[in-house]
Amino acid sequence: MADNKPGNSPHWIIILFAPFIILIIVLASYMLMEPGEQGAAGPVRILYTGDAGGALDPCG
Amino acid sequence: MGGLPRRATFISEELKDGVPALILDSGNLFSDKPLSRAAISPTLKKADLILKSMELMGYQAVAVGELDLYLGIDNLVKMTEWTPIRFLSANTKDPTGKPVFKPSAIFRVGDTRVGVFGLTSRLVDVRLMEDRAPGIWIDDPVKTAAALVPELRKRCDIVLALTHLGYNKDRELAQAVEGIDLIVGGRSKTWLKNPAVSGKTLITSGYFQGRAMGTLTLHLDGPPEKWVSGNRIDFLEKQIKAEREQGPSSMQTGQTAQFRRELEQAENGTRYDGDMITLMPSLADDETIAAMIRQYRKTLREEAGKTPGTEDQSALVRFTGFDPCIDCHMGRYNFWKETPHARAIESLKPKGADADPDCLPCHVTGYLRPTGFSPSAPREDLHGVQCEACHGTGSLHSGSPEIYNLVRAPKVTICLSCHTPDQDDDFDYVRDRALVCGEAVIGDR
Repeated sequence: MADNKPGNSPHWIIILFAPFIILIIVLASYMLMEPGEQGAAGPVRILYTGDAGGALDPCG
Repeated sequence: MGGLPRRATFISEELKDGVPALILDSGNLFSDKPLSRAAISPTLKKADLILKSMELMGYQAVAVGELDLYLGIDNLVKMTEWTPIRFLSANTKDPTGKPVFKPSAIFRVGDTRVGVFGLTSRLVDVRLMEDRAPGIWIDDPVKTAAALVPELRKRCDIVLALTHLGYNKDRELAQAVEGIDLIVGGRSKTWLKNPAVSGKTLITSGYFQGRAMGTLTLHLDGPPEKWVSGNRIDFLEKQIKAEREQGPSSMQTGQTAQFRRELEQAENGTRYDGDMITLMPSLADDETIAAMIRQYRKTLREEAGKTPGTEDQSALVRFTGFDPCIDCHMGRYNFWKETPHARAIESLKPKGADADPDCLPCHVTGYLRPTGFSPSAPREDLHGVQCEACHGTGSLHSGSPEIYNLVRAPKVTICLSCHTPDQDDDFDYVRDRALVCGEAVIGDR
């Protein structure tokens, strides 16, 4: 009988935290899906090479 | 010019101002020509050194070039397991159509999320692919990009294609696929001092043999809709300022108004500042990476003694060394022995490169050819660039000079096989031939 009391049921814990869990999921989805509108700010540098072909260091 | 130690110094200098950076390479990292089977094992050792150096420099991603694939697909996949540098190729696929390498990766650079995807050229040697990467095929780069970019676009602020397609194909890609902000390309070895603009896409290209490094600063304020060259903005501002200080002339007024309009329009765009910097000898070597290369070359020297020799006593056409030449060509020999050609192997010693297979072919005679110079049995008369390096093997000629002639005046192509732009950017055939043959003896025996 004690298992059926609301205070002892794990379901109550889930119900209690459900809004927070939903909020976290929504925020995480928002951060993953819509970063482009806010993120691109300030300078970014791209340094690049290509076709180095195994060159280590000039021979002599 | 070039070299990993100088490149490392250049990168650390570039990072000093604190601007968040992404460091990339557009492929063909380990070899500049298709590798023979015998060359795979030594190249793997060098690849290990190259990747570890690049890791120290802070490289984050590389594209897969076709010459990389010839190293063996299994070897490349093994590298991806230990290096933190991402090997990206969305269109290199296994028989089931699944990408062999990671198609893309997202990097947070400061506050900006940069989505990078890799593309590999379809212009591969089919025979070598069957041998080194059986069952692997290269999908259409444009179709691959068209399928990939929209998803990447949703998750990133900047979408960057890291390609090994060649400049013309990069332009086609920019025109065919919407949503690519920037292409960092390779393969065609195109020198682009400033990036090219195609619609909403900036296109840059890596240069060859690590001689130069590209740098591109994007001044972002939201997703870029239109790229504006920093050089152009600086020019416009300078012209307008000059007019303000010197006062308008009737001829300049119309033009300055045009400059003002252009500058106003530029303010709606995203500024970029690009440059391609040659890694000159004046740039100091990074000591950590220089030491790693010295250690690698030391290992090569130690292993050279264990390599089987190439001496083949039965060969009809043999390298004789310079001794038989002296009998008839004493004047030329005396001149030659004072030239840099005679001391070519000595020039490798300061950097410990006198057993490096990348260096030796141009500093000894007949490297790894039958009866030619071999590190395991190094003949002193084949040290340096001696007679036979330019005139051909001397055994038949020295035995019967009246029957067998050698090449009297070697063609420029023989010289250019070693005097390449990266090793000798001041080479002049007529002038430099006199330096190794001597003006006085040209025409003599």
